[in-house]
Amino acid sequence: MARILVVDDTSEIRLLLVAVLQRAGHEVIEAADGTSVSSWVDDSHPDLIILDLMMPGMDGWDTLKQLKSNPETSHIPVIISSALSEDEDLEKARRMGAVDYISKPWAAADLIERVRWATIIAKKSA
Amino acid sequence: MINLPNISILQRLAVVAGLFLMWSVAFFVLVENARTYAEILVLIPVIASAALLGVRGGLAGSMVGVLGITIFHLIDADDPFQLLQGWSPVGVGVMVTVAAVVGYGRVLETRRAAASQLLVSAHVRLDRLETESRLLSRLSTELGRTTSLETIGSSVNLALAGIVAFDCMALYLLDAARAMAKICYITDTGRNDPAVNDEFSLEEILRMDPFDCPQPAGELADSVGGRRSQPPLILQWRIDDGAESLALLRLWSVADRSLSWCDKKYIRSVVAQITSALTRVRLQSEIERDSGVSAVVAEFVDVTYKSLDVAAVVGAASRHIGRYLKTENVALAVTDLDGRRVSIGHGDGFGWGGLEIRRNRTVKEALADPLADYQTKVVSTGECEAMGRDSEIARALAKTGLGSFIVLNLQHDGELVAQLWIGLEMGRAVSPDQIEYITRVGHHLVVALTNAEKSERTRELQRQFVGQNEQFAYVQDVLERAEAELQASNQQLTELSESKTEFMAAVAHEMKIPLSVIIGYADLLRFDLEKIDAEQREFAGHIERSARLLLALADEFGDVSKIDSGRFSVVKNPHDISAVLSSVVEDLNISTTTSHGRIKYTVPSAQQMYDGDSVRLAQVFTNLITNALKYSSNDKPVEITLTSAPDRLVITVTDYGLGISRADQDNLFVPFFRSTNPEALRRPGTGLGLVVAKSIIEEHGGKLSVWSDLGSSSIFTIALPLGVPESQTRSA
Repeated sequence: MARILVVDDTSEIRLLLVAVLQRAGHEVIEAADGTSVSSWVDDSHPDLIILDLMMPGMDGWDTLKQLKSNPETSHIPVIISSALSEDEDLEKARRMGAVDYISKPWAAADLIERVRWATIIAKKSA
Repeated sequence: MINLPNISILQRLAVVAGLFLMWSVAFFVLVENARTYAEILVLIPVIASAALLGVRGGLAGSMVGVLGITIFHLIDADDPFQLLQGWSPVGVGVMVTVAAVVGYGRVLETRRAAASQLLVSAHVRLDRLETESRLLSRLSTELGRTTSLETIGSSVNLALAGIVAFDCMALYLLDAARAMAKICYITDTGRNDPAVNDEFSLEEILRMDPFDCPQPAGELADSVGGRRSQPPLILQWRIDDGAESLALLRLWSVADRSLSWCDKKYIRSVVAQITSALTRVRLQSEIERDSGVSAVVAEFVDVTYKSLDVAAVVGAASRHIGRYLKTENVALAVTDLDGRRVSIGHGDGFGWGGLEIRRNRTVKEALADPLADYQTKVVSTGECEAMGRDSEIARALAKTGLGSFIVLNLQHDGELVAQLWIGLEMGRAVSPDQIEYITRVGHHLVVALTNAEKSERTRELQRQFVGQNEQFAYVQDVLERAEAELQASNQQLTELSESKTEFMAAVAHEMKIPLSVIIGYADLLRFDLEKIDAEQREFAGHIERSARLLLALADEFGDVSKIDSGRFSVVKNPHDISAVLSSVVEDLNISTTTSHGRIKYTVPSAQQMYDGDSVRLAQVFTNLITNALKYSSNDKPVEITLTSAPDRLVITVTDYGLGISRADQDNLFVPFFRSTNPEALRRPGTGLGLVVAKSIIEEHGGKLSVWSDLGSSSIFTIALPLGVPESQTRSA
């Protein structure tokens, strides 16, 4: 089981993610915006990050950029979860190092499956 | 030698007396003592007589001398032979020679006298020639200086009288324009008799007997010789310039002398001068008259052409003509703009009160008048009275009581433009200048009237045009305002449309988050199967399905906003389109409660690879099949076919439901359009699905079309073009 950092400004979505992931047996840490991400990462060393894109203040793109540019954190797989469903957004996320992209609304089963794959890949590459 | 050409009888008698005396002395000497010198002594009177009396005198003298000596010898000696001996041959020879020489001298003298006589006559001839030359040169000077024909006569008379002997001369000059001749000069009359000024045509003068010709018969006869009879005509010379006759020269002489050759020659020279002078004067007077008339005509042109309306032209023309012809009786009738009526207008302040012509006549009436046949005509009252029966104008003119009239009918392009009548007082003649003036003025009057009419017409048109222009400007103003309003509302509409597109995009995005929450928790409920019962699970399913419908709507909003703003595109990847279609059919057959497996699709045996956006194509299939299910009853099938041609794929979705009316078919692909069929309106829908579907198909280069029979069936057809597969291209 993995420790997952969920970053989303919408508390309902955050709680939903927590509920779904905890049911799947994962340990979930919450962050409401991009600025607190680095401290959470330093404190709790998550195995996976699920990151929203549209957030006030530091948005998902900047957060992703920061995570991937820091050698300490660049190895942590990031799954983008966003209401943006354009192909160019998807492509941009992959280019910036996101391991997967899941459009809102997602089905719980789908989310669990993608999280599982992401952790397996991360373990293999580590 | 002494020249004694003219010796009188007395002188001759003196000579003879002298000779007699000398002979007496000679005889005395001979008789007394000097016999041997007799010959010498005889010589003296012989030479003297020869010198004095010429050859004949000399010979006679010598004969007398010989005779005298012979007689002397006869008397002196009895023997005749002695006598012969007394003459020495030398003495006789000398005597005869001397007599001959002296006599020849006398002959020479005579000849010289004759030569001198000839010289004298040559002098006379030279004098005449000199006189002729002087006279001709004076004539030339006088004629060269003269500007009037009247003065030519006296100059010619002077030139002729200096040489030619005649008693009376007459010069008849011809008026070039009218071929009339009049006596311009007659010798010795001393006055210009009115009868002399009478005019005759050249033919008349030539036809007349010279004695009947106008000539100063009585006076001439009285002045020369007191005889009553007519003096004979000695010369009649017709002077012409090669083409036309200019003048006639006549000479009379009481003495009935015929003219000498010299006289005729001289007269010829004089005539030549007259000819050139007449030609020059005539030309000059023509030029002068022309330039005089031209100046007046130019003034007329200036006055009339400035007038811009017909009434002003009539006034100006009447005044000018009246002033030039010194009459107030000028009337001008002008044809109106339509060319129907000729109305007489007197012009302002100028008029011809006595002329009673109807103010308004038709052109037809005006042209029917015999006086309208003439372009320019001078008529007398008598002629007018004669024409009065047929001509209204002539009748009116005759009534005015004036002497003569000038009638002008002015035409342009065969149409009567104006009629002009001018009345002149009794006894006033019309000069050629005036005729010239009136003719030329007529031409200009036509032009001025035509111009004025055109100008009036133009002004009328301008007035109309200005009116129309104002209307036009008003309409244009209204149009401009309407256009501005239209532009403003168009701008608003564009802004509205843009804000609508933005609104739709915003709604689509903002709806997604709460929908994600709803769907997410509804989904989550199904995870906790052990905690909820079957009914609760069903409720959760309802929540999720409705939320997904709402989500689909939000997606359509997003798609339409992208289509509106031109940002809509597809991502193509080769895939098995048949499998995509199958998956959609399967999903709908299972998930939709109203379908109950109504969707009939026979899956083709082989894969059908297609290079397109599989997600978007699935969206199209879902939309079309959902519509087919929605608008047909539950017991009717929805048939799907997929066929492929070498160049394209054709997918059809057929339902046997409400069908779509012809009018609705035209609007089917317009955003937010809903059917006008109330039955169809009872089904939920946004009117956006087909718009998105059509855009997706078109992004693939294909075509979405509909065929429908209202009340029975509808067929939606997707035609997608097939690019030639790469492998085939390579193998080919």
